[in-house]
Amino acid sequence: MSNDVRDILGLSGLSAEGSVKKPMRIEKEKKPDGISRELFQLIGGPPPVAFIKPAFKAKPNLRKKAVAWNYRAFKNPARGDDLELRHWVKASEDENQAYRFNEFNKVINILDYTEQEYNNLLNSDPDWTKAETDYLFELCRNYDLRFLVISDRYEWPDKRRTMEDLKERYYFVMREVNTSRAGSGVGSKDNIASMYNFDKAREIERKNNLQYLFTRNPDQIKEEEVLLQEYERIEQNEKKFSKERENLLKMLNFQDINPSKSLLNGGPSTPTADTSGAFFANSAESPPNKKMRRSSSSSVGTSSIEVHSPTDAYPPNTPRREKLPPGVVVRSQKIPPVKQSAINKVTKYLAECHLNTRPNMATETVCAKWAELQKGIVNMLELKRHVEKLENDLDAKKKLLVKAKTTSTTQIKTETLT
Amino acid sequence: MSTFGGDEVSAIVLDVGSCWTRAGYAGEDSPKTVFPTYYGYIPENRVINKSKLGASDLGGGEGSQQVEKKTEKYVMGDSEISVWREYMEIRNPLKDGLIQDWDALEHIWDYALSKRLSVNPVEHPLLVTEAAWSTREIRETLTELAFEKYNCLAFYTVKNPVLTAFASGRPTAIVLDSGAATTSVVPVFDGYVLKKGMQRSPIAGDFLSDQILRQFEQQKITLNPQYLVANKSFTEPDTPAVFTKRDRSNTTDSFHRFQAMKVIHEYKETVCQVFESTYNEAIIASRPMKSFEFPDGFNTSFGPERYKVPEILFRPPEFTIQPQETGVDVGSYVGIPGMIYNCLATCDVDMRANFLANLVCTGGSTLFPNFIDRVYQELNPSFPGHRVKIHAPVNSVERKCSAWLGGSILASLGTFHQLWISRKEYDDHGKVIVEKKCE
Repeated sequence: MSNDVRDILGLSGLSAEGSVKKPMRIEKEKKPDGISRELFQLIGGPPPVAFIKPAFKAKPNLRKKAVAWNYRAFKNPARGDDLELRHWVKASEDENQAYRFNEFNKVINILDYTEQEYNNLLNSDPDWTKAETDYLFELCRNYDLRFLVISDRYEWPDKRRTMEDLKERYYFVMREVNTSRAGSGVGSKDNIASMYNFDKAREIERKNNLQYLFTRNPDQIKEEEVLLQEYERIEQNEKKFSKERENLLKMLNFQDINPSKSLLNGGPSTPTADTSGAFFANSAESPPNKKMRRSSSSSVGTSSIEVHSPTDAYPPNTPRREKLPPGVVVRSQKIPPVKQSAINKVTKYLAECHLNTRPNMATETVCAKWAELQKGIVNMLELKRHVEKLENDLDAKKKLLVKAKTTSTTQIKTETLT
Repeated sequence: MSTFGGDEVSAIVLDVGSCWTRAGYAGEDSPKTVFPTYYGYIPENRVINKSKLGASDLGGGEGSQQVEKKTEKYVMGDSEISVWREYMEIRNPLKDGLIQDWDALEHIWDYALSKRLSVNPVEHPLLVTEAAWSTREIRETLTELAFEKYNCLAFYTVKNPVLTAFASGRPTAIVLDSGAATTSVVPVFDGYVLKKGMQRSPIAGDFLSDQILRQFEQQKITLNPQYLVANKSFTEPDTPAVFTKRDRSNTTDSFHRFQAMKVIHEYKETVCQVFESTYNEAIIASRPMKSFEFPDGFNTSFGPERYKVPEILFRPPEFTIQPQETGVDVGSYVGIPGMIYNCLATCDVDMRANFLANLVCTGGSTLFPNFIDRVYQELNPSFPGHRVKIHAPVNSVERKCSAWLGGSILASLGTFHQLWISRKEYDDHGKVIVEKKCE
């Protein structure tokens, strides 16, 4: 029907139809190489509906022959005797296979000292007899060096040994025997000595401290928690500060390297408290700067700070060619400095007028006026000096004149006299 | 199968507790059979002329009696000992969790192995549980019994708290076990009981039952156990019971007491409750009462009394009724939180935090409502800055049979089989081997 309408309207129906169909086909064909069809279909458009196949419980395969299991006797190689226990295993398993739990049978090797070694090396402590040392080592072997259990089970007539006593003795024996067996190598001896090092006093102290820690009352714990929180807070602040400082330095460096860009941009860069010493010095000097500082930290392009850029409109009488540090500067710095020779005089004069060396509110106009003022003061001072000089000259001339007059009169007088 | 490290060797696990005996196959999640450790005993001179009556009472006789050559009679099993018989004494072979009566124990083993499990012990390794404070003599006699009489394939004995800790999946824990005869707090480290830290007190289920009996006496409630009641009729609350009494002459005191205790067990389980925080009479008085109907039809409601008796577990000296007559020096025992505290104090300071985070509660007397909350409430402020964590299975079967369960797990582990005491080892070393191998 649309074709008829098109005919009536004199539109080329066929071409329009073709243009509708074509892009669809193109879209389908467009699949680039290297992308799988599934993935390609996922790109754009709604994802295809995922159909979950209804899963039924798998039918038991009744035709397959059941796996045979045998009730077999087995021996555990970890046992000293030949006890045969029986268990069910798959018939397919090898009958002569080693018992698979055998690998978990870990034995700690604890050294065995000889009679001679004991007499030579270990007899130094009169508190310990050989029999008792033997007993200790037997317990160590039985309980795999679990000193908690060893000290629990330790019962030797007329002796009360703490866990530290036992540990000390054990490590002493290990150290002595192993170092004597290690032979001549000096390094290895030290190594062994450090391996079996046991400081009883320190261990006791540690346990006492732990005991103290264990018996703290809730108030102490609360206090400790508060302190810990405070410490964390301080540390975090410190981190934040150092990070900020680093960022700032980075930014300044960046603008150092690439000043033209920043100059061209003229855009805002974050001013921070630490930008320039001059600003700080300034603000420190004058109390109303509080406001200024706040504004400087909160926004860019405020009155007191701006980024130095050539496109900025300056009051016409501000000289523009002075050297300024790149990046963010305090505007008051842009005020052209007074000649080195005149600085003292200018400051003195400003002080006489109850003014600081820099304007309190360094807005553009103030700065311009300030520059004018400075210039005026310098001019004035110069003129003053000139006037003074001229006056002096005049004085001198006058004096000379007077002198000359007097001499001439005396001459006349003398001439007349003579 | 290798993922959980199991290797079934069809071991039998036997747990003879003060109140109940559990037996079953290792590797299963609950014991095959649970029956009272209590047994009925009819002395020699009474057996012959009364056995007929006993048999008729049983309704055809289930063959539950074991007629010894001496003709004294042992009656085993839950339903069997509940049947009234003339002159039948009800006895318990255990005292404080330790075996006293070895003949009876043999009967219990016989009954469990041949009557209930129907196994031939020659074919099976046997794992037996024991109290943490079990003595060398007891362990040796057990070993002897296993090899000489039952001729077991292999034998092993493990202490209850160790098994409980295993059942809760921890090798290191403090195990609070409040059962029938004893309440104990035992530190377990890497599967070894630390003997020096062990705390125990006789203030447990049976003591509480005795206290409830005294409480009933004070309230002038006469307890008529089920065996005395022929029929009863409904009565209003707090009115005297209307029932016909059975003629049960020649009943032994122990049988009557056993029957009374059954009623009290029911009372304990349905009415009693632990107060969730520090005992406060005012709050308790405002709580609703709970009613209980006795076997004779008498029924009444209990208010604060139902909180008072379980409170003995926490503060024995303050709450015990007639402390002089209990035969227990109540004043010398501290409550459960105190026991845990004392236990920790004896442990090495390095381990305390670990122990506190691994407290395992087990035993029937811990099943009072709010018991676990209360223990936590009392312990937590005593250890500021430490994490107190109490593990107690919600499932009451697991709470009652935790030692058996641990045994079931242990005896089905592939790595455990190297520990069994074998026949050969027993022959070579004699019964002393048990001290060396089972520690």
